[in-house]
This record gives sequence, C-alpha cells and structure tokens, in this order.
Amino acid sequence: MGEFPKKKQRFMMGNEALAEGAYEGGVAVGAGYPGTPSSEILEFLNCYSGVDVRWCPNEKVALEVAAGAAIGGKRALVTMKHVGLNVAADPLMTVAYTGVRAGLVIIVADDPGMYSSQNEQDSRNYAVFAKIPCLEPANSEEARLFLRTAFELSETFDTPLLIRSTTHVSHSKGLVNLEERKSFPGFDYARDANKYVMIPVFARIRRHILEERMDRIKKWVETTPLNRVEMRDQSLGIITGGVLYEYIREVLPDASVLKLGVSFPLPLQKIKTFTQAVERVVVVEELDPIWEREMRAAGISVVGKEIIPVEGEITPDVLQTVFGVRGNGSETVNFSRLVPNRPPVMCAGCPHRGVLRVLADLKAVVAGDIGCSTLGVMPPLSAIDSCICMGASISMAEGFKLAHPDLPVAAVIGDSTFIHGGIPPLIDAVYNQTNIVVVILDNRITAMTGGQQNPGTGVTLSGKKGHALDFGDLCRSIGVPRVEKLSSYDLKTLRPLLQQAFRESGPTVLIVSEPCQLIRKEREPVRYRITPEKCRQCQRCLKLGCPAISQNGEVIQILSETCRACGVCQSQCAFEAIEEVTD
Amino acid sequence: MKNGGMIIVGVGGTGVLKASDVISGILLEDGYDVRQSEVHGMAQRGGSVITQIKYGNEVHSPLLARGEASFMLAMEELESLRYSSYLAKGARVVLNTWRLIPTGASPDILPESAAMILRTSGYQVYEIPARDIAFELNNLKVVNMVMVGGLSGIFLKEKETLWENILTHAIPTHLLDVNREAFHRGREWIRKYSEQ
Ligand SMILES: Cc1ncc(C[n+]2csc(CCOP(=O)(O)OP(=O)(O)O)c2C)c(N)n1
Ligand code: SF4
Ligand code: SF4
Repeated sequence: MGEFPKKKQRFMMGNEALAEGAYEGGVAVGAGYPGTPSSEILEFLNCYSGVDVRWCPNEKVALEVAAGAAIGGKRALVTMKHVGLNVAADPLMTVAYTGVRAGLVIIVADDPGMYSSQNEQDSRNYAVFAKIPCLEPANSEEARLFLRTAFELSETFDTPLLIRSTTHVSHSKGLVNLEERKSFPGFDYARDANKYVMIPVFARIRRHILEERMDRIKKWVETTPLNRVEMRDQSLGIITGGVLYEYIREVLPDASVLKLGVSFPLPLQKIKTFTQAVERVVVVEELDPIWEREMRAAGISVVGKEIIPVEGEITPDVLQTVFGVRGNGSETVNFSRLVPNRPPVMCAGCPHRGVLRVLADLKAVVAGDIGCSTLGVMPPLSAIDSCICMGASISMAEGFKLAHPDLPVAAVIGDSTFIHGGIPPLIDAVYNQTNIVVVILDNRITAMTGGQQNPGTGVTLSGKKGHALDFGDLCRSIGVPRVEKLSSYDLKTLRPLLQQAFRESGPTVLIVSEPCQLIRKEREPVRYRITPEKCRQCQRCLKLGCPAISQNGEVIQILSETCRACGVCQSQCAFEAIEEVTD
Repeated sequence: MKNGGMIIVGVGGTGVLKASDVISGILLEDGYDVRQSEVHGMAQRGGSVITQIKYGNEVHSPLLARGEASFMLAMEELESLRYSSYLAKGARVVLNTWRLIPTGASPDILPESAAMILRTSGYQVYEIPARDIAFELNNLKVVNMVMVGGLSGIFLKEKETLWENILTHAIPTHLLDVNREAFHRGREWIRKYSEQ
C-alpha cells in the first residue's frame, strides 16, 4: 500500500497520531488535564523519550505551564477536552497577545453529540475569540502531519496555535506514515518584558501586533496546501473540514470539495474562486455556523445551516438524509425498540454507591459534580440534584443553602475534581461560613476518564512517585472546622455523621475513601449472597442499583461473578438476609 | 477489492475494542485500507458499546451509514438488536448467545430470541455459546477471542496463517495460549455449525 515501506506505517488512533506528530515536530513539554475524547494524547506522548509529560490539576495550569515552557524556548503541547478550554480561556486570551518563542500548540477535543460530555460547545469559537489560527485534521494521518508542522507554524507567526479534534478523529483509527523526529534544540532564555509582561502600556502595543499578525496569517491561508480544492463534478461544491470531509467523500464521492485544513482564519479568496467554479455550494460544518457567517459577511453566498443541523453530531447517515442520497439504509430493519436502553452504570462495588444511597435516604439536596458519581442521578439512586461543571458542586451547594437555609445541603465531589476546581469554593464556604456538608469521594484515581493519576494519588503521568496531597491536611489548613475521614463502605458511621453535620454551622468535610474498582486488581476471596429463606422481598438492596443484584420473578439474587464484595448491600438489609460466603 | 463494513457490538468490558483491533489487523495484513471507530469514556461503564470497521481499496469514513455492515460480531445477544439497522441486506451475524439483562430492566419484556428475530429478516445468524466456552477455559476474559475465532470461520476463512500471526502480534505472550485456544474453539464451533 502506498510508496512507504510497511514498517514505516502504523494503524493508529487519532489521539496516538496526534502524539506521534507532536513528537516528530520536536515537542519537549506536554501538559494537560484528562477529558474524553482527549485523554490518550498525553498518555501516548509519554511513550516517547525526550518529552517531559505531565497531568496538571486543571487545564488553566496546564496551559500556563506550556506557555511558560514555550516562552522559555521549548516546544510545548497542551491537551484538553472542549470544556477544558473554558477553564484555560483566561491565559489563552492573553498568550494570544504575547505570542511565543518556541511553538505552543493547544489541542482541544470537541464532543459533538455529547458521547461523554455535559455540553457540545464548538471550540473553533475560541480561535475567533482569541484571534489565533485553528487547524482541523480529518483523520489519523492528518493528525500526525498537522502536529508535525504545527510548532513551526506557531513560531513563524509567533502565536499559540489551536488544533481542534472531535470524537471521531480522536477515537478512530487509520494508517499513519511514520517519519523521523525533527531536531529542535530549543532557544536560550531571553528576557523580553515588553513582549511578555502584559501591563496596559505593553499590552496596547501587542494588541496592535495581534491584528498585523492576523493579516499575515490571512495571506498564508490562501496558499497553504492545508486548504485544498478537489475538483470533480461541478454541479455541487462542498466546503468542509475535519472528519466531515471523510464522510462527504463516502456520501457524495462525485462532489467537488474545498477541504479546509485551517478552520480559522478562512481563505476567503480561495473560497470565492471555488464557489465561482461550481454551480451550487454547501458549507458542511458541525455545530456552529462559524464559516458560513464569515463567508456571508464577505459577500459569498452559500447554503449552510438551512439544511445542515446545528445540533448533534453530523454522521454519514445525517448527510445521506440531507443530500437525499439513498444508501442501503432504506432496506434495513431496526429492532432497537425491542431492547431497553443500556446506559452506563456505576460498577459493582463502586465506592460512590452507598454514600449516594445514604444521602438520598436523608433527603438531602445534593449538588453533584463531574465524574462517576454523576451516574447516581439515575434511578434507583436518584441522588443528584445538579451537575454543571467541575468544582461547581461546592459553590452551588452554597447557593442552594442561601436559597433555602432550612434544607440539608451536601456537595459530592471526586478527588480529581476537588483538586481541579473544588478548593476555591471550599475556601469560600469557610470564609463566608456556609453550613454545607462537602463529601469528597476519594477513590484514589480519576475514574470517569479511564483512570488517570492525579495529585491525590501522588503518582505522576510518567509513573514517578511525587507528593500525595493529603485532603484532610488541606481542608484543616484552610480552616474547615470539622473534617472526618472514613471508609466509603462504612455507611453505619456515615449516616449519623451526616445527620449531625447537617445541624452544625459552618462547613463540614467528610472524606470517604476506598479505591475505585478500576484499580482494585485482585478480586476479594469472598462474595455476598442472599439467603432466600431470610429475604422478605423488601427490595431495599435493589435500591442501590448494583449491577450484581437483580430480581427474577420472586427471587432477588446476587450474581456471584459480578459481585465485588463491597458489603454495601449487606448493610442495607434489615433482615440479615445478605451474608458473606467464601469462593 | 469491494468496500465492506463490519460492526462489533457488546457491553462495556466485554473486549469489544480488542476484538476490533484483531479484525482490523488481519484486514490490514491482507492488504485492505481500513478505518475503525470506537467510543471511549462513559460508554465503557457497562453501557452499550459499538465499534465500526470500514475496509476496501480506499476508504474514508470511520463511521458506517445504516445498512452498510455486511458482518456483525455481537458479544452480547440483546445488543445485536440494538444495532440491527447497520446491517446490510443478507448480512451475517456472529452472535454470542449470552444475554445480559440491562440493570433495572424487567426480563419479561425482553424478546425471546434475537437470533430468531434476525433470521426472520433474512440475516444469516451464527450462534456461539462463547461465554460457556470461555468458562470451560477458566477465563471469562477470552469471550471476545472465542467470538473472533467464530468470525474467522466465515470471514477471511482461508487466511489461517494470517489469523495466527495477528493473534501472536496483538496478544501479550503470557495470555497467548488461552486466547489462541479460545480462538480455535470458536472457529471449530462455527465450522461444525455451518455443516449442520
Ligand atoms: C473542565 C473539565 N475538564 C475535564 C472534564 C472531563 N472529566 C469528566 S469526569 C472527570 C474525572 C473525574 O474524576 P474524579 O473527580 O476523581 O471522579 P471519579 O470519576 O473518579 O469518581 C474528568 C476529568 C470535564 N468534564 N470538564
Ligand atoms: S470506575 Fe470506579 S468510580 Fe467509576 S463507577 Fe466504577 S468503581 Fe465507581
Ligand atoms: S457486596 Fe453487594 S453491593 Fe457490593 S458488589 Fe456485591 S452485590 Fe453489589
């Protein structure tokens, strides 16, 4: 296949190819915070030597570490999911002013269709907002190629550069050609206060340079091969980019295509020429009508969101419908209505489960956070009242308490999320003396995103032992009046503790800790079993929603091979019908 | 080389991703261009999972359109119905007879047999008790290789050495024996099944 010898090609996931490209491009520092679909990029980058790779407490920290490295003279990469860029937006907007010395590349992975996200914002808006260029690879090979050149581009234009990926670029696989790493020794440190100290007098000068830079980039986008025209049938011209290009090639193989590798700024001249060469032009972009608006503003008449949905993922199916292409779909039968949904659930033995059950039983208002515990919103636990963004549980709990001082209000937050965004809100609760209970669900890992280390575990991304943050010490040092630590499975202690804490004034922190099932490698030699003679069908254990417990007709039973022996169900049974057995 | 599509479906934790990698691996070795899509993140917490593979001379999209899959590998029985709209006319389905009732769903409302339903619509269904076979091998983690072995009985069937090579390549040495055994049991099952 192709002109490359076989060994030089590999079948790679987009995220792996992004890491390969960054490596080839001479990256020296990689920083980020996990988030689907971006998490694997740094994990893959960690497999190469000569790159210092790290997880940071959050995306803002990661971007600042990378900006420092780049301004210091080493090529640096930052990775995050789309909502992470909101957190990192503050440094982004001003690093856009200072520019960089060595290349600074920010990969942001969007999640159209919200496979694993709380919203589906379109990160290209940040490129427009910050006035920085944005590149969008369509597949794994382009992911590598774009990253390979991204650092040099960043240096040429003295700008941070945004790479936008999406779920099906990051998490799809294709063949990738491998090339040598470019040698880049880095630049010597050089102080340049006018450029890097953004006090108003200097910032005003940089503000102007920002516009000049954009003019230069706008000239470059007209000629770069990253934007390419493929003339085929001239009756229909499609302007598209990212993975949608690949779908278009399948659904409309004969259409002429202008593929935008640079999604901001647009090559308006090139677009004009293309639109004149075809009879009808459709802009096929996912989520917001960013290109379409800019083209219209430039007086180019195109069809776009009149026919392309603004919400949700654009798939080959959607495109077939939009363009009236009759695929094979009409001949197929859909039996999905015969099977009930199978949403993700907390694992058997999940340490969050019992805690959420107790909170629901106490009829607490539970401000939730992002992480596996959010799954507790679903019945039968039905334990979560809100979930907005990372860290918001604590601050929103404060707000709930302000709105209703008489209600028992709790915040539940995972260890990684607490470190990410929970500390300033907790300081607020202490400072302003808000009477809430904060439950830190410390499962010793960043679970929802697949199990990344974090400052609480004390192990770094490269597997080195660092310092493990002690949540108890931290809370006490910021002045939390009452801090208790207990096992997540010890519900008999938890319940009275919560009841008491709801009556106290000032915030209470309960640190409940047991390792996540992802990292509990060995199965316990014991199992739990329901003794049929003792079971009175009260269904109390079923209210836990443990996948190991099910009801079949009259019989409630525990599936021995699924049970992880956490013992939480036993503590729920009033009739001592659940007993421990050894394998 | 005709373009083709395949989907691999199951529930999180049933080895869907590994099975997909092995299948893409043999297609690549056999000279096909391949694109594969997978879903990570929330879906892996025991939720419903699908990966899609598109192969041919030159393929672009990692996602299939409805009706484009000529093959389905279903690691769990009910999931075969959930994704049935991807099946092309007359598609072949390798179906694990193991059923996992979604948490909270009542067993009474579930269809009796997915295989029967699919057959009535003209699909060719090959049932394998993959979980029982894996259980016999004392390793429930190899269900996916039993299934891949089953697939090898009807897909790139003649490429026996290629399949062997791919397994050796894709599976860590200390797990190779049991996975290879699982593969052969699956392959053998489908061979007998096809003779019936
Ligand atoms: C700003 C932001 N960054 C990243 C994510 C992705 N994300 C969702 S859940 C999660 C991890 C939560 O880990 P933890 O708080 O330890 O809870 P666990 O899942 O382990 O219970 C992450 C990083 C996000 N939703 N928002
Ligand atoms: S991965 Fe860990 S935290 Fe998430 S549901 Fe499973 S046990 Fe709970
Ligand atoms: S002990 Fe009970 S709650 Fe815990 S995993 Fe086993 S069945 Fe589920």
